[in-house]
Amino acid sequence: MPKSVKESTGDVSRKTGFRKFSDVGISTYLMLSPFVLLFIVFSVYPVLASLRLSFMRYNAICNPDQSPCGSVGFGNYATLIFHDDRFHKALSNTAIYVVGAVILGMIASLSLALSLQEDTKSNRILRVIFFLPSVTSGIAVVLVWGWVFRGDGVGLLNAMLSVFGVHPIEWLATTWMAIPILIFMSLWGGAGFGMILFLAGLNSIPAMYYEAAVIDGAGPKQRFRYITLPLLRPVMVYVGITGIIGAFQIFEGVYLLFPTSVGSIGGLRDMALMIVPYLYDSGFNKFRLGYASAIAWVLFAIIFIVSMINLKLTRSLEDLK
Amino acid sequence: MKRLGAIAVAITMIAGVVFNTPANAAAKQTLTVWATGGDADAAVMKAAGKAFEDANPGVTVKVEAISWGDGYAKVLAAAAAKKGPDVFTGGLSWGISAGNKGALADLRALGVANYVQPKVPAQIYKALVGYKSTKVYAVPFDLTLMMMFYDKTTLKNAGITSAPATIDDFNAAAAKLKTAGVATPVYNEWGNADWLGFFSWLYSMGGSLYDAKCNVTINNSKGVAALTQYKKLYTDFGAPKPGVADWSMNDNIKQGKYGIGFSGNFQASSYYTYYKDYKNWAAAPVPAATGSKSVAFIGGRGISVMGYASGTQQRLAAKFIKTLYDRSVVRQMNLVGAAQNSIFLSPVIDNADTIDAYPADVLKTIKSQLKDAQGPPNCNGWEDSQAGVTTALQSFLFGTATAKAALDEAAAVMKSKL
Repeated sequence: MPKSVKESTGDVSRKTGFRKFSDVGISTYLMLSPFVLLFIVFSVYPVLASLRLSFMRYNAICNPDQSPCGSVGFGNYATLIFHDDRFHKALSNTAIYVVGAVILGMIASLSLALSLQEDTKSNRILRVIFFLPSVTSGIAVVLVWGWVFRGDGVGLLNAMLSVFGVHPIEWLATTWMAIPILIFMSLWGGAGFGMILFLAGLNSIPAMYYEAAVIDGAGPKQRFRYITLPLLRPVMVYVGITGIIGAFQIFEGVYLLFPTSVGSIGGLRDMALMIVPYLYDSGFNKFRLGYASAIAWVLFAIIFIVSMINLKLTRSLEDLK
Repeated sequence: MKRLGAIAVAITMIAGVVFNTPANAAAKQTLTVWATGGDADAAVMKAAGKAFEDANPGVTVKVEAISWGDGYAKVLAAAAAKKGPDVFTGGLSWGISAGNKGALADLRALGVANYVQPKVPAQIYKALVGYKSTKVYAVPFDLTLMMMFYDKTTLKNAGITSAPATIDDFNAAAAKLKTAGVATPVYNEWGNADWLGFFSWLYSMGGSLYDAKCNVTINNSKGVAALTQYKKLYTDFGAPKPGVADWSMNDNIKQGKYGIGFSGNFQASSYYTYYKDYKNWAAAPVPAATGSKSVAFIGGRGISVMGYASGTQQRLAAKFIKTLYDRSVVRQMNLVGAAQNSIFLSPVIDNADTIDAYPADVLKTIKSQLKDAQGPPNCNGWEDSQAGVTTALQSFLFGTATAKAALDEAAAVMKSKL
């Protein structure tokens, strides 16, 4: 019997190429084909096209007499990396934002999950309340925050502070406050989603580990340090990487809360300029589509490298498998 | 045999459709116009379209509104797709920028430029033609003029008897408003802490962004003096920074919370249509340095013809554009504009007289200000320099840089884009 199994598996493993393809059945591929076709047309092709554009001067009009499009080699990348001060500003702002939003977001999510872990009626209600911002329209939420942080006496926060005799604070016009405000908005909107993931992770940890630790005399801090955190590592890696990707792509908050009145985006002194709004500005306000594509690929490279470092540092590749 | 029969039937049907098309269909033409702005702007344009339709039987003018925010991107996207409007109105600098990309038709070749040039102030026409360019991609459609607005009672209560004409008068008036307890003595609505807001102060103190040959001049001594004065609005006279107060200054001026507001003539449009029962509004030219002219920033919209439009469409578009400077057409546009609280200010100065809604003193102010107003520079790279210039100016307005250092930084940005 074992022999037949071995033969059978050996037989399957030797199947390659067309035999393997045909064994799955043509109907499988036919059913997959609508998705594959749409995926190729709307994802693969645009991605590859943007890679090509990133090496070009391209404005989509490409009038051969006035603004010919053509290859610039690594020119767009060289300009971005060595000469574009606004890109450097966007990069540094984004880096600060990502570090703050991801680290504080994970701490907030984990704290909420630990606080609401016990399955009681009140905790279930609170979980829903904390999760609600994650399913609310991002644009609507940002507009509401705009009213909260209005800098005159009409702003909600200033109106509340005025009760205590505090003069109106120019929340959105004070340079150093821009990124903390964006981080705070990200925590409010994203901590609930992370909480759900951490709750799932916490509930998957077998109770016997904690029981054994209690018998061995471990206190709450030791149980958290030596049981909870190590066993939550796969969830932390997932929350961390998705958080990093999401944070690098911040757009609505900057676009709606920190516009400038003429010809720019990013607020006073570019205090809230981030990479994706800058990409949008270059691509769709100035129509420098080749340059904007280069920004997109630099962003991709940064996210890829940071995610790989994250995976390596947490040594969780095996856990993810 | 069956296949041949099917092909024969198909050919017969196509031929039937082609040859039975009414003979007069070729004579019917539709001109599609994109009007940048809101629905009121589109309604004003429709009034011009109606006049054109009446004068040209068989022609339909289709007007669609596009928003300011993404209008430029839409125009370029239309140019890339070679599908969209025949004509569009948009920012004064769009013509140079989109024209240099090859998106627009040369209005000189269509006979529009030569027709319009003598009718509008030279400095406004110049703002739409690229430096040393032999082609004209846009001509002025309407104007937005930077002006000073206030409530007569508020100034009177503060002991100010007339609108400040000089910068010294303005500083004294703003100080009096502050002393009188006006919460926000000065408010910049249009171009707040931006190059646009700074523009009128710079030019009214004898400075400029570039000279006539497009050499950068923003960082000379006049520029430094103007920027130092501009900063006073924020440090001494309580002008709110961008993002602090909302954009609507009318109610605040009316209630005496704001003293003097700087904005475009669209505010006057609002005062004398929507708020027409309130009689204390006043508008005045922007203040100037002693011995200098009051030079207001002039914005507004240019009008262009898309390069992909067929020759027939381009000629029709050119014919339509020429009518927009006709006094009777402008009058129709202003009647609709007044009903929509959006008065149309023609670039032909004398056409301002067709605006019935404005009191005589406001019309006089607008007409006198138009004569010396300046549009945005037509120098290469200005469009791409704006963001960098604004950031540099703000490093002095709200940062630690000196005025000279900030302007040197702005000049470096402008030179790098030339």
